[in-house]
Amino acid sequence: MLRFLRIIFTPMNIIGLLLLLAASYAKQFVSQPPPQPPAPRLQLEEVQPQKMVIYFSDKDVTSYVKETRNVNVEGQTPGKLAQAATATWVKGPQQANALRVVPAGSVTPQVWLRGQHYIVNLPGSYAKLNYGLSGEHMIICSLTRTLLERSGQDVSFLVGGKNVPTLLGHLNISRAYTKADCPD
Amino acid sequence: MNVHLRSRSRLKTLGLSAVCFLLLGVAGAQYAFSQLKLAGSDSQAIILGGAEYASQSALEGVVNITRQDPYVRVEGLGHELVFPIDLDNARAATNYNSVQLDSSRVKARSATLVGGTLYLPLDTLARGLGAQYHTGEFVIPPSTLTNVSSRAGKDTDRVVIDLSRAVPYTEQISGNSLIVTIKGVNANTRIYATQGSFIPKFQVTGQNGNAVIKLPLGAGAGYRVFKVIRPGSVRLVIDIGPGLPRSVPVLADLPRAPLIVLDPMPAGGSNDVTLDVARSTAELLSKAGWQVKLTRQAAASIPAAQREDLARRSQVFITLSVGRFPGGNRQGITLYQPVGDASAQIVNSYREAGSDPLVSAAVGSGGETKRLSQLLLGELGSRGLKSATQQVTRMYPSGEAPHAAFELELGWPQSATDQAALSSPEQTTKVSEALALSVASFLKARATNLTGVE
Repeated sequence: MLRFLRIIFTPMNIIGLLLLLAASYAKQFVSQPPPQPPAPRLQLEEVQPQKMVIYFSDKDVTSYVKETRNVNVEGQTPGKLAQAATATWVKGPQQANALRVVPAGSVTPQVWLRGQHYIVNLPGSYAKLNYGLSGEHMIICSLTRTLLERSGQDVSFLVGGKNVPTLLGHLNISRAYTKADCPD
Repeated sequence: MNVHLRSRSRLKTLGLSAVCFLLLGVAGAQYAFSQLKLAGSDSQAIILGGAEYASQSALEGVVNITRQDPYVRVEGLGHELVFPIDLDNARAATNYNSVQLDSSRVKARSATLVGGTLYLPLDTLARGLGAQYHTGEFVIPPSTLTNVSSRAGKDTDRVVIDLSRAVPYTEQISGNSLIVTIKGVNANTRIYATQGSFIPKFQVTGQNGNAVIKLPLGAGAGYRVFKVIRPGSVRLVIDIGPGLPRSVPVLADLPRAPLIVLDPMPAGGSNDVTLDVARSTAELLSKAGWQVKLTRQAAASIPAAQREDLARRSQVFITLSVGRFPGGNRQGITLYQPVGDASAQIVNSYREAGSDPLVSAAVGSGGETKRLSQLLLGELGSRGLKSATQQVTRMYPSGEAPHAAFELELGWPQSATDQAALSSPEQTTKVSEALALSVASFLKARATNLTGVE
């Protein structure tokens, strides 16, 4: 028995066993999932009133009525400012001589800003509005002028998330609108 | 010693022989330079064997020279000459060479190479090109119109223009006319009458140093223009008649068969007033022989692709609509004119391309919409219908239309006054008549302008 133990517990075998155990521990150590980082603390951006110029229609649906409004906006990024301006445009004017461009309770279009280019996704319900040419012109141009009032180069329109040639059949919206397309 | 003297004498003989051969070679290749007045400008020639030769570079401003060794092809003044290139200068300057002058082969001096440069004999060139030449001067005579004649045929008539030499010409269809412009030929303005039934008369005019021949090209008649080169003159032959295939561009015939498209937008409500006006207008125009299409025939909505397609094919595109906007306090008829660039880039490109008759037939200028609008406003006014105009950018599908296009808003149903007028058949008739009359007047005037035929 002693002879048997002497044969097994040779210095080389003991060193090999130790190395095996060390390698097994090392493998287990590196296989461990990384520790879960702590969740970031929810930091609400400060809501501050911002002065914005919103474009609405006059009674004849021929020219714009500009309203300067104090709009509460969370954050200062151009994208958030544009979305807030669009929401105010949907809510309608406060002046008596101005007309709201879309019916009360309409869904607010989504707005994205990529560089100097705004992309506006008009809800599908807008394509069902029974407007004439003046009305369609007022929807597209009052929103274009509202968004480009602060910054930006042009505004592209999608309807229900899709590129379409026209919103109501009177104006071509397949290319982006600039201020020059919507003169005073 | 004797051997040494003999070898020296041999060397002397060899040296003398070499000098003699060298002198003989120089003498053989000898030529003299001379001043040459070539087509009005100073140039230089060389004299070989008593004849003047001009280099390829000197002649290239006068004729086109293509070297195809061992020949050289010379084209110019309506002639085509082929010279063999004889590398022996002395032999090239003799009359033992065969030179091709247009369709005849003659014995004359030929081309040669001197120091690797191609030289051509001026006397042979003058003979082949019909130019005037005497030593030191090579003159290209001005082309003149020497005679105009005609011949009546069974299924084609022929007009023959005789010219002193060949000059370039262009042919162009403008409406019902074939216009042949002969460049660089002066002509007196004159109308020629013929005995033919296909070209009863034609006009020759001088314009900016060119002779312009205007010939009538009747419906169904084809034409061909070709020249016949004869010794000392050139004939330009113009045949016109139904005996020839009509290869006139479709665009030239378009103004006489225009497509009018009426585009009634859904009016909403029980009274489809836009469709009523469109149908009534179409009926009036169709009775008068015009080709009219509507973008819709029933209450169904209009597929965008169909509207765009019809707009692109139209010569007149009119959208009919009614105005609506919540709370809008507006009434009356409004004519919306498109302004700015068209949405179709091809339309913009054609508009920038110029005022060629075929381009105008394909894509009209913005002035067409203006003229038709003025006619319509006049017709509406004469029927007691007041109307306003408004200019709008990026209109759809007017931006796809290559010619006159606008939108006519018939009124605002939310206004009680307009609602009453829109429901009235009398108003529909008045608007339809105004539309039909203005469109017909506009297209008639346009066809006259483009084709020159009443």
